[in-house]
Amino acid sequence: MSAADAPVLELTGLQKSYGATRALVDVSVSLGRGETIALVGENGAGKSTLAKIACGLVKPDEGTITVGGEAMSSYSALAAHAAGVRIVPQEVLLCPNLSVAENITLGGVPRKRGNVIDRRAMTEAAEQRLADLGIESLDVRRSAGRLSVVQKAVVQVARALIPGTRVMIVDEPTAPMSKAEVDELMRLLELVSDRGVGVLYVSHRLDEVLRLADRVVVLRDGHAVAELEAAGLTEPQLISAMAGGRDFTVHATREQRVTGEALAVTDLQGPTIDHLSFSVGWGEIVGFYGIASSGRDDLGALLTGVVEPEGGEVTVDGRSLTGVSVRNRIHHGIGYVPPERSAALLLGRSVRENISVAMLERLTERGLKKVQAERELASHWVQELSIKTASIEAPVRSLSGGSQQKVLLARWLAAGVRVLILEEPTRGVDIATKAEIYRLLREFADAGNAILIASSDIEDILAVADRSIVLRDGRIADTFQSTTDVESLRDSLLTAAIAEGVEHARV
Amino acid sequence: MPGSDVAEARIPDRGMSPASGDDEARAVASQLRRERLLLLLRGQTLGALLVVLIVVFSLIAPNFFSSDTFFLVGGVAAAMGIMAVAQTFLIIAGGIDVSVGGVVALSAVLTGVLVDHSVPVWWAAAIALLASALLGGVNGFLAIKLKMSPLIVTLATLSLFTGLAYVLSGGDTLLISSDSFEFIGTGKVGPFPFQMVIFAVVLAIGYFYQRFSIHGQQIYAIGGNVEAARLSGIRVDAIPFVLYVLSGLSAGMAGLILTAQLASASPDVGSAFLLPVVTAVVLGGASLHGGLGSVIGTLVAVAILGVLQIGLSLLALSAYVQDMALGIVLLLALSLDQLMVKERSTS
Repeated sequence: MSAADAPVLELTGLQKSYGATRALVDVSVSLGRGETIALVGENGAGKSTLAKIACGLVKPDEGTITVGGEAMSSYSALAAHAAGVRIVPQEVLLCPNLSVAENITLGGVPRKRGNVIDRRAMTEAAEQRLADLGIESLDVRRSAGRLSVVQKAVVQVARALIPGTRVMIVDEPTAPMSKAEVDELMRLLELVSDRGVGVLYVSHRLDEVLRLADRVVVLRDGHAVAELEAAGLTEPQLISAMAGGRDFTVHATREQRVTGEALAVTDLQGPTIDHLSFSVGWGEIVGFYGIASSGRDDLGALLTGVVEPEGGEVTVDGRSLTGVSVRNRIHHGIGYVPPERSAALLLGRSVRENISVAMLERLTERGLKKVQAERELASHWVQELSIKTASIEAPVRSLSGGSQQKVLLARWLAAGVRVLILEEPTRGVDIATKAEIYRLLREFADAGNAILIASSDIEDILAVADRSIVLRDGRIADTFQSTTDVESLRDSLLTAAIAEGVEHARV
Repeated sequence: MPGSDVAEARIPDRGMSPASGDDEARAVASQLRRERLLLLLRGQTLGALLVVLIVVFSLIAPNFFSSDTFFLVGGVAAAMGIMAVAQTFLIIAGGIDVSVGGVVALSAVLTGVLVDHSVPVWWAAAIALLASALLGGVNGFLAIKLKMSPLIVTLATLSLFTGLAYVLSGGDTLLISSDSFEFIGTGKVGPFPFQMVIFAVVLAIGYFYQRFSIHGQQIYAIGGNVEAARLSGIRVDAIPFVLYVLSGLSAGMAGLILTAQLASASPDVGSAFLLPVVTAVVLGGASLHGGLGSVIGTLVAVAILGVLQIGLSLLALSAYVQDMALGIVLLLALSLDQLMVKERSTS
């Protein structure tokens, strides 16, 4: 086989374990010249590990890597770069204090005699590189830190596109982008692959995948479970390949037994919240949905006192929370699960300590901790919520994202709160655990407690909310009761969320 | 990718079934064992270092391996150890107190000045302890209420307290002659120096606090993730404040022990404690980032530092060489720490 016909990147029999977690099990991918392969899969399926191995950032335990027909015996990030493998990483890796031109030419700065940087050549090279990508409007002298998200991505693609580039690995670039920005990036990547570069595209967004990719590799639990031709493939087909025939139906029948007002909010004001009033009844789950700037993200912090409201009143069971500390709100029966799990978990501490932490003070006898009672408490909730952990003494860091989220739920259930406020309750949680969390929340509400959920994931709202409130510009845009017609509810929620300013919609 | 025809999908069946809960649990268990082993190794290395030092000194230093040396080490280490126990909890909770040297000096000088003004020595000692706790409270107030960096705050108060001690004493050494007071520094309970007994009691209380009290568990939460601790209803301000007070109190106790040992109060006594206390705590496995550490680790580290000091003195090496040895030991401990972190991040 001549070098020209050989796949630009061939990964064979890759194995990778992190400690005892098997991230990749016998995965092989072969990427041809000018071909785009998309990697899809749930969180933790092994996509990012594969991408990192492909660009030399992570060493596989087993398997071979061939770039342009040449077997790479010792493969490092440096060797990968030398062989023509570039990465456009998930997190933007630009030097914010350097100019666009400096960032683009970072890998090979043009120099004059005496090793002095040739600024003019640098500017020209950067402009040329951008022009190749059809970008004329970007001033290369601007500082990279001031660029928009998509401009940053453009700069990264331009940087990666130096002579000798054979493979470009693009790891979930569009997570923070709007629709228009995604379109721009898609156009760019098509251009890149037209130039004969093989593109390995990692993404959650199936519509992008189907648009861009020639082939789709589906990963699940570290295994490549399917390799599909993208032509003619539909989203449902892809989803079923990802889910692997597991049943994730979560839209349970809803019992409405709302009795009295649990949480009442009047005229609440905050940074992005504009005179908001609503209430949540005992036994009810109210879901808040909206785009990023709608105020959805600030609601939880305002209600739980993490951020001091600028005005308005919050009452729980008729008692005002004005001036009540975060600590005392727990005694009022409020539990808060913030959007970032890491903000609430003691990652290095044990499952036991993470569960007991909010009610530890009640586990005392003459000033001493009731050691046995604490263990029993932790064991009870680990069993009750079927948290997958080696033991209650295992550090929470060693648990999967879904199990970590369950630990947080267990913490509040153990503390006996009656009002739960959750933001992004299923972020980074695999589909199976998602369903479990929905069920747990439903049970908690059915037992007469109140839940408020704010989420950017419309599935969360559709799956569990009895009542859905759509926020727009810090106000209530619309309110919907739950219905069995999930699809029409979904449309209504989306429409209400982005009715104005569709251009900037980023949900 | 437009396409309306039926997808030409090939889905190779690789005999994959979703990982069962058992599998995952087993995986987590084996990782846990690995981490435990590392932690154990870490503890062992520290213990091994202590043993190696003892063996080496026994071989090269005359009379090192004797019960006399044991009590000598115990005596030297006691003052430092008492402060190190309090410092351990403060560092676990994400704080730090480098002003202890200044508090030691002030506590000593205050006792001396009060005795000089005909205050009964035990009253003087009690007032000095109270004042030391108060000084700790000042540190706590500045670091917690005013949200200043604890390192900067206590560096500043170190300078302030030390200066104050010199001003109060006029730079003089004040004699204190009281047999009963001197017992603290030179007395013996059986074969044990009395200060070693005090250290043992403080250590026992510290161990008990860490293992069996609510606070002892909460400080790890505060140091590990203060926001998470706050959201969980832990008193993230009050608890560290108490720890600052205790750190001040422990330095006050150390000041009294040293004063009793010398039968005189000098502002110079604090200078020896500029760094060893924090060194001992970090050597004992606490992280300056908070959330990690233990009293037992600190105990072993205190013993290592004590053995080093006595051993090097027996070899008639200068204080400067001892300083160098201290630096090398600290670097060794920190590189070990770094290796641990690396191992953890790759697994």
